[in-house]
Amino acid sequence: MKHSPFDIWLFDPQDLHAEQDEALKQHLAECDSCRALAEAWQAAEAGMLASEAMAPEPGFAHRWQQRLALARSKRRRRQTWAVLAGTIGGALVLTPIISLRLWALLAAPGEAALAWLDRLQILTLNLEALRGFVAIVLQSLQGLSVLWWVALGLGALWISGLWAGLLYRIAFKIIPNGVSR
Amino acid sequence: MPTDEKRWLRQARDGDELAFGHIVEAYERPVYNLCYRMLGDRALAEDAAQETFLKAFLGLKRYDPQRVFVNWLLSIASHHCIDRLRRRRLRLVPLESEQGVIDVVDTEAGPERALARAEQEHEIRQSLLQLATKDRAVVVLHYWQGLSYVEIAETLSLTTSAVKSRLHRARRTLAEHWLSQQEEGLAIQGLRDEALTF
Repeated sequence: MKHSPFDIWLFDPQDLHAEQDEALKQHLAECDSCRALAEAWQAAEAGMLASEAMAPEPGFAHRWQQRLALARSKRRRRQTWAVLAGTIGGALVLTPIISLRLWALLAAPGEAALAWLDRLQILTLNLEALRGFVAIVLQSLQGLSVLWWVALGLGALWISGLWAGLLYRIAFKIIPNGVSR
Repeated sequence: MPTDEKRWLRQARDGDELAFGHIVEAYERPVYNLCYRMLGDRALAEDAAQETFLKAFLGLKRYDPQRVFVNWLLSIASHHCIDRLRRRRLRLVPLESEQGVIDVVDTEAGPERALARAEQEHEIRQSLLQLATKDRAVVVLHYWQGLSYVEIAETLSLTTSAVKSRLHRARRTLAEHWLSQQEEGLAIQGLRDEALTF
Protein backbone atom coordinates (compact mmCIF):
# COMPACT_ATOMS: atom_id res chain seq x y z
CA MET A 1 0.00 0.00 0.00
CA LYS A 2 1.19 3.50 -0.83
CA HIS A 3 1.71 5.54 2.36
CA SER A 4 2.97 8.76 0.85
CA PRO A 5 1.90 11.57 1.36
CA PHE A 6 -0.35 10.37 4.21
CA ASP A 7 2.60 9.56 6.51
CA ILE A 8 3.58 13.24 6.15
CA TRP A 9 0.07 14.66 6.48
CA LEU A 10 -0.78 12.82 9.67
CA PHE A 11 1.73 14.94 11.63
CA ASP A 12 0.37 18.27 10.38
CA PRO A 13 -3.40 17.72 10.09
CA GLN A 14 -4.17 21.41 10.77
CA ASP A 15 -2.43 22.46 7.52
CA LEU A 16 -4.58 20.22 5.31
CA HIS A 17 -7.39 21.21 2.92
CA ALA A 18 -10.79 19.54 3.29
CA GLU A 19 -10.07 17.12 0.42
CA GLN A 20 -6.67 16.15 1.81
CA ASP A 21 -8.21 15.68 5.24
CA GLU A 22 -10.86 13.37 3.79
CA ALA A 23 -8.22 11.37 1.87
CA LEU A 24 -6.13 11.02 5.03
CA LYS A 25 -9.13 9.76 7.02
CA GLN A 26 -9.88 7.21 4.32
CA HIS A 27 -6.26 6.04 4.25
CA LEU A 28 -6.12 5.73 8.04
CA ALA A 29 -9.27 3.59 7.96
CA GLU A 30 -7.56 1.17 5.56
CA CYS A 31 -3.88 1.26 6.65
CA ASP A 32 -3.01 -0.32 10.02
CA SER A 33 0.59 0.95 10.23
CA CYS A 34 -0.33 4.58 9.46
CA ARG A 35 -3.26 4.40 11.89
CA ALA A 36 -0.99 3.05 14.63
CA LEU A 37 1.48 5.88 13.95
CA ALA A 38 -1.30 8.49 13.98
CA GLU A 39 -2.67 7.15 17.27
CA ALA A 40 0.82 7.05 18.79
CA TRP A 41 1.38 10.66 17.77
CA GLN A 42 -1.97 11.72 19.21
CA ALA A 43 -1.10 10.03 22.52
CA ALA A 44 2.40 11.54 22.58
CA GLU A 45 1.06 15.02 21.79
CA ALA A 46 -1.70 14.72 24.40
CA GLY A 47 0.95 13.78 26.97
CA MET A 48 3.03 16.84 26.14
CA LEU A 49 0.03 19.16 26.15
CA ALA A 50 -1.03 17.83 29.56
CA SER A 51 2.45 18.18 30.99
CA GLU A 52 2.96 21.32 33.06
CA ALA A 53 6.05 23.52 32.94
CA MET A 54 8.62 22.39 35.51
CA ALA A 55 9.54 24.89 38.22
CA PRO A 56 12.94 25.20 39.92
CA GLU A 57 13.44 24.62 43.66
CA PRO A 58 12.30 27.62 45.78
CA GLY A 59 14.87 30.41 46.24
CA PHE A 60 16.04 30.39 42.62
CA ALA A 61 16.32 34.21 42.44
CA HIS A 62 18.31 34.31 45.67
CA ARG A 63 20.71 31.66 44.36
CA TRP A 64 21.07 33.75 41.20
CA GLN A 65 22.12 36.81 43.26
CA GLN A 66 24.77 34.67 44.97
CA ARG A 67 25.97 33.35 41.63
CA LEU A 68 26.23 36.87 40.24
CA ALA A 69 28.32 37.95 43.24
CA LEU A 70 30.57 34.92 42.73
CA ALA A 71 30.92 35.62 38.99
CA ARG A 72 31.87 39.23 39.72
CA SER A 73 34.46 38.27 42.29
CA LYS A 74 35.93 35.71 39.84
CA ARG A 75 36.04 38.39 37.15
CA ARG A 76 37.83 40.82 39.50
CA ARG A 77 40.34 38.11 40.43
CA ARG A 78 40.94 37.34 36.76
CA GLN A 79 41.48 41.04 36.02
CA THR A 80 43.95 41.36 38.89
CA TRP A 81 45.89 38.36 37.63
CA ALA A 82 45.83 39.72 34.07
CA VAL A 83 47.23 43.11 35.20
CA LEU A 84 49.87 41.38 37.32
CA ALA A 85 50.88 39.05 34.49
CA GLY A 86 51.00 41.99 32.06
CA THR A 87 53.21 44.01 34.40
CA ILE A 88 55.60 41.12 35.03
CA GLY A 89 55.70 40.25 31.32
CA GLY A 90 56.36 43.89 30.38
CA ALA A 91 59.11 44.13 32.98
CA LEU A 92 60.69 40.91 31.68
CA VAL A 93 60.71 42.26 28.12
CA LEU A 94 61.90 45.77 29.01
CA THR A 95 64.62 44.83 31.50
CA PRO A 96 67.12 43.38 28.97
CA ILE A 97 66.47 46.23 26.50
CA ILE A 98 66.99 48.94 29.13
CA SER A 99 70.00 47.08 30.54
CA LEU A 100 71.63 46.96 27.10
CA ARG A 101 71.02 50.69 26.58
CA LEU A 102 72.34 51.52 30.00
CA TRP A 103 75.37 49.34 29.38
CA ALA A 104 76.06 51.15 26.08
CA LEU A 105 75.65 54.54 27.79
CA LEU A 106 77.99 53.61 30.64
CA ALA A 107 80.56 52.01 28.32
CA ALA A 108 80.75 54.97 25.88
CA PRO A 109 78.76 57.96 27.12
CA GLY A 110 80.00 60.29 24.37
CA GLU A 111 78.89 58.02 21.50
CA ALA A 112 75.48 57.42 23.08
CA ALA A 113 74.91 61.18 23.47
CA LEU A 114 75.86 61.71 19.81
CA ALA A 115 73.43 59.01 18.67
CA TRP A 116 70.63 60.75 20.60
CA LEU A 117 71.52 64.07 19.06
CA ASP A 118 71.37 62.46 15.60
CA ARG A 119 67.88 61.17 16.29
CA LEU A 120 66.73 64.57 17.52
CA GLN A 121 68.04 66.17 14.33
CA ILE A 122 66.17 63.67 12.13
CA LEU A 123 62.97 64.32 14.06
CA THR A 124 63.39 68.11 13.63
CA LEU A 125 63.93 67.67 9.87
CA ASN A 126 60.81 65.52 9.59
CA LEU A 127 58.70 68.09 11.42
CA GLU A 128 60.07 70.84 9.16
CA ALA A 129 59.12 68.79 6.05
CA LEU A 130 55.60 68.25 7.42
CA ARG A 131 55.19 71.98 8.09
CA GLY A 132 56.27 72.72 4.50
CA PHE A 133 53.74 70.22 3.13
CA VAL A 134 50.88 71.73 5.16
CA ALA A 135 51.85 75.22 4.03
CA ILE A 136 51.74 74.15 0.34
CA VAL A 137 48.32 72.52 0.80
CA LEU A 138 46.91 75.63 2.51
CA GLN A 139 48.36 77.90 -0.20
CA SER A 140 46.70 75.85 -2.92
CA LEU A 141 43.36 76.04 -1.07
CA GLN A 142 43.44 79.86 -0.79
CA GLY A 143 41.92 80.31 -4.23
CA LEU A 144 38.84 78.22 -3.40
CA SER A 145 35.37 79.78 -3.21
CA VAL A 146 33.21 79.77 -0.04
CA LEU A 147 31.08 77.02 -1.58
CA TRP A 148 34.10 74.74 -1.86
CA TRP A 149 35.02 75.43 1.75
CA VAL A 150 31.50 74.52 2.84
CA ALA A 151 31.65 71.33 0.75
CA LEU A 152 35.03 70.39 2.21
CA GLY A 153 33.79 71.10 5.74
CA LEU A 154 30.68 68.97 5.21
CA GLY A 155 32.81 66.18 3.73
CA ALA A 156 35.09 66.25 6.75
CA LEU A 157 32.06 66.21 9.06
CA TRP A 158 30.57 63.25 7.17
CA ILE A 159 33.79 61.25 7.41
CA SER A 160 34.09 62.06 11.14
CA GLY A 161 30.47 61.01 11.70
CA LEU A 162 31.01 57.78 9.79
CA TRP A 163 34.12 57.04 11.80
CA ALA A 164 32.37 57.75 15.13
CA GLY A 165 29.37 55.64 14.04
CA LEU A 166 31.56 52.70 13.13
CA LEU A 167 33.35 52.91 16.46
CA TYR A 168 29.97 52.99 18.26
CA ARG A 169 28.71 49.96 16.32
CA ILE A 170 31.82 47.98 17.13
CA ALA A 171 31.69 48.92 20.82
CA PHE A 172 27.92 48.55 21.42
CA LYS A 173 26.84 46.11 18.75
CA ILE A 174 23.23 44.84 19.01
CA ILE A 175 23.13 41.25 17.81
CA PRO A 176 19.83 40.54 15.99
CA ASN A 177 18.77 37.63 18.16
CA GLY A 178 20.55 39.05 21.17
CA VAL A 179 22.80 36.06 21.70
CA SER A 180 26.53 36.27 21.57
CA ARG A 181 28.08 33.17 20.05
CA MET B 1 5.52 44.54 27.67
CA PRO B 2 4.15 45.14 31.20
CA THR B 3 5.05 48.49 32.82
CA ASP B 4 6.83 46.83 35.76
CA GLU B 5 8.97 44.80 33.40
CA LYS B 6 9.92 47.92 31.45
CA ARG B 7 10.94 49.68 34.67
CA TRP B 8 12.93 46.70 35.95
CA LEU B 9 14.70 46.36 32.63
CA ARG B 10 15.58 50.06 32.57
CA GLN B 11 16.95 49.85 36.11
CA ALA B 12 18.78 46.59 35.39
CA ARG B 13 20.43 48.16 32.33
CA ASP B 14 21.91 50.69 34.76
CA GLY B 15 23.33 47.80 36.79
CA ASP B 16 20.56 47.39 39.38
CA GLU B 17 20.80 43.73 40.44
CA LEU B 18 17.68 43.88 42.59
CA ALA B 19 15.59 45.06 39.65
CA PHE B 20 16.90 42.17 37.58
CA GLY B 21 16.08 39.89 40.52
CA HIS B 22 12.38 40.68 39.84
CA ILE B 23 12.91 39.66 36.22
CA VAL B 24 14.49 36.40 37.40
CA GLU B 25 11.49 35.70 39.64
CA ALA B 26 9.07 36.46 36.82
CA TYR B 27 10.72 34.20 34.23
CA GLU B 28 12.49 31.51 36.24
CA ARG B 29 9.84 28.92 35.41
CA PRO B 30 9.80 29.11 31.59
CA VAL B 31 13.59 29.32 31.46
CA TYR B 32 14.06 26.45 33.91
CA ASN B 33 11.43 24.34 32.14
CA LEU B 34 13.18 24.82 28.79
CA CYS B 35 16.54 23.86 30.29
CA TYR B 36 15.03 20.84 32.03
CA ARG B 37 13.31 19.58 28.88
CA MET B 38 16.52 20.11 26.91
CA LEU B 39 18.95 18.53 29.37
CA GLY B 40 16.66 16.02 31.08
CA ASP B 41 18.17 16.54 34.51
CA ARG B 42 17.18 18.83 37.40
CA ALA B 43 20.69 19.78 38.54
CA LEU B 44 21.88 20.50 35.01
CA ALA B 45 18.72 22.49 34.33
CA GLU B 46 19.23 24.62 37.46
CA ASP B 47 22.80 25.35 36.43
CA ALA B 48 21.84 26.18 32.84
CA ALA B 49 18.95 28.40 33.92
CA GLN B 50 21.19 30.28 36.38
CA GLU B 51 23.79 30.73 33.64
CA THR B 52 21.09 32.00 31.26
CA PHE B 53 20.05 34.77 33.66
CA LEU B 54 23.67 35.62 34.30
CA LYS B 55 24.38 35.95 30.58
CA ALA B 56 21.21 37.99 30.14
CA PHE B 57 22.12 40.39 32.96
CA LEU B 58 25.69 40.86 31.77
CA GLY B 59 24.58 41.24 28.15
CA LEU B 60 21.47 43.34 28.78
CA LYS B 61 22.85 46.22 26.71
CA ARG B 62 22.66 43.94 23.65
CA TYR B 63 18.94 43.32 24.16
CA ASP B 64 16.83 44.79 21.38
CA PRO B 65 13.70 46.29 23.05
CA GLN B 66 11.70 45.58 19.87
CA ARG B 67 11.76 41.89 20.82
CA VAL B 68 9.62 40.16 23.43
CA PHE B 69 11.88 39.95 26.47
CA VAL B 70 10.98 36.39 27.47
CA ASN B 71 11.71 35.19 23.93
CA TRP B 72 15.15 36.79 24.18
CA LEU B 73 15.74 34.91 27.44
CA LEU B 74 14.52 31.65 25.87
CA SER B 75 16.85 32.26 22.95
CA ILE B 76 19.83 32.55 25.31
CA ALA B 77 18.70 29.46 27.23
CA SER B 78 18.21 27.38 24.05
CA HIS B 79 21.60 28.30 22.62
CA HIS B 80 23.24 27.70 25.97
CA CYS B 81 21.71 24.20 26.26
CA ILE B 82 22.49 23.31 22.63
CA ASP B 83 26.11 24.47 23.06
CA ARG B 84 26.38 22.61 26.32
CA LEU B 85 25.12 19.37 24.83
CA ARG B 86 27.40 19.77 21.85
CA ARG B 87 30.49 20.84 23.82
CA ARG B 88 30.38 18.24 26.49
CA ARG B 89 29.10 15.54 24.17
CA LEU B 90 26.64 14.78 26.91
CA ARG B 91 25.16 11.33 26.60
CA LEU B 92 21.56 11.50 25.42
CA VAL B 93 20.30 9.55 28.41
CA PRO B 94 21.60 10.86 31.71
CA LEU B 95 22.48 8.39 34.47
CA GLU B 96 19.39 9.25 36.47
CA SER B 97 17.07 8.32 33.58
CA GLU B 98 19.12 5.29 32.67
CA GLN B 99 18.50 3.78 36.06
CA GLY B 100 14.79 4.42 35.66
CA VAL B 101 14.59 6.86 38.55
CA ILE B 102 11.30 8.72 38.52
CA ASP B 103 11.06 12.16 40.15
CA VAL B 104 7.85 12.48 42.13
CA VAL B 105 7.32 16.17 41.58
CA ASP B 106 3.93 16.81 43.15
CA THR B 107 2.55 15.03 46.18
CA GLU B 108 -0.28 17.52 46.87
CA ALA B 109 -2.72 15.70 44.56
CA GLY B 110 -2.31 12.42 46.44
CA PRO B 111 0.40 9.76 46.12
CA GLU B 112 -1.28 7.73 43.33
CA ARG B 113 -1.93 10.73 41.09
CA ALA B 114 1.51 12.10 41.85
CA LEU B 115 3.09 8.80 40.86
CA ALA B 116 1.03 8.63 37.66
CA ARG B 117 2.10 12.18 36.81
CA ALA B 118 5.71 11.39 37.58
CA GLU B 119 5.57 8.31 35.35
CA GLN B 120 4.10 10.39 32.55
CA GLU B 121 6.82 13.02 33.03
CA HIS B 122 9.41 10.26 32.93
CA GLU B 123 8.01 8.99 29.62
CA ILE B 124 7.98 12.50 28.15
CA ARG B 125 11.56 13.06 29.26
CA GLN B 126 12.64 9.77 27.69
CA SER B 127 10.84 10.66 24.46
CA LEU B 128 12.39 14.13 24.27
CA LEU B 129 15.85 12.67 24.77
CA GLN B 130 15.38 10.69 21.54
CA LEU B 131 15.36 13.93 19.56
CA ALA B 132 18.29 15.83 18.09
CA THR B 133 19.11 18.86 20.25
CA LYS B 134 17.70 21.54 17.92
CA ASP B 135 14.59 19.46 17.20
CA ARG B 136 14.09 19.12 20.95
CA ALA B 137 14.37 22.89 21.39
CA VAL B 138 11.77 23.39 18.65
CA VAL B 139 9.36 20.95 20.34
CA VAL B 140 9.78 22.51 23.79
CA LEU B 141 9.36 26.06 22.49
CA HIS B 142 6.25 25.02 20.56
CA TYR B 143 4.48 22.81 23.10
CA TRP B 144 5.48 24.32 26.45
CA GLN B 145 6.13 27.94 25.63
CA GLY B 146 3.43 28.18 22.95
CA LEU B 147 5.69 30.03 20.50
CA SER B 148 4.65 30.36 16.86
CA TYR B 149 6.82 29.06 14.00
CA VAL B 150 8.06 32.60 13.33
CA GLU B 151 8.95 33.18 16.98
CA ILE B 152 10.76 29.82 17.19
CA ALA B 153 12.68 30.68 14.03
CA GLU B 154 13.73 33.99 15.56
CA THR B 155 14.62 32.36 18.89
CA LEU B 156 16.77 29.60 17.38
CA SER B 157 18.17 31.60 14.44
CA LEU B 158 16.47 29.31 11.91
CA THR B 159 14.20 29.88 8.94
CA THR B 160 10.45 29.27 9.35
CA SER B 161 10.58 26.38 6.88
CA ALA B 162 13.45 24.81 8.84
CA VAL B 163 11.33 25.05 12.00
CA LYS B 164 8.42 23.33 10.25
CA SER B 165 10.59 20.53 8.91
CA ARG B 166 12.33 20.03 12.27
CA LEU B 167 8.95 19.93 14.03
CA HIS B 168 7.67 17.39 11.55
CA ARG B 169 10.72 15.18 12.00
CA ALA B 170 10.47 15.48 15.77
CA ARG B 171 6.78 14.51 15.74
CA ARG B 172 7.55 11.41 13.71
CA THR B 173 10.38 10.41 16.07
CA LEU B 174 8.17 10.97 19.12
CA ALA B 175 5.35 8.91 17.60
CA GLU B 176 7.70 6.08 16.65
CA HIS B 177 9.25 6.11 20.12
CA TRP B 178 5.79 6.07 21.71
CA LEU B 179 4.79 3.16 19.49
CA SER B 180 7.93 1.17 20.32
CA GLN B 181 7.35 1.79 24.04
CA GLN B 182 3.79 0.49 23.70
CA GLU B 183 4.97 -2.61 21.83
CA GLU B 184 7.68 -3.19 24.43
CA GLY B 185 5.09 -2.87 27.20
CA LEU B 186 2.79 -5.35 25.45
CA ALA B 187 5.66 -7.80 24.95
CA ILE B 188 6.56 -7.64 28.65
CA GLN B 189 2.91 -8.13 29.58
CA GLY B 190 2.74 -11.15 27.25
CA LEU B 191 5.82 -12.72 28.85
CA ARG B 192 4.33 -12.16 32.32
CA ASP B 193 1.03 -13.82 31.29
CA GLU B 194 2.96 -16.70 29.76
CA ALA B 195 4.98 -17.16 32.95
CA LEU B 196 1.80 -17.16 35.05
CA THR B 197 0.21 -19.95 32.99
CA PHE B 198 3.16 -22.30 33.72
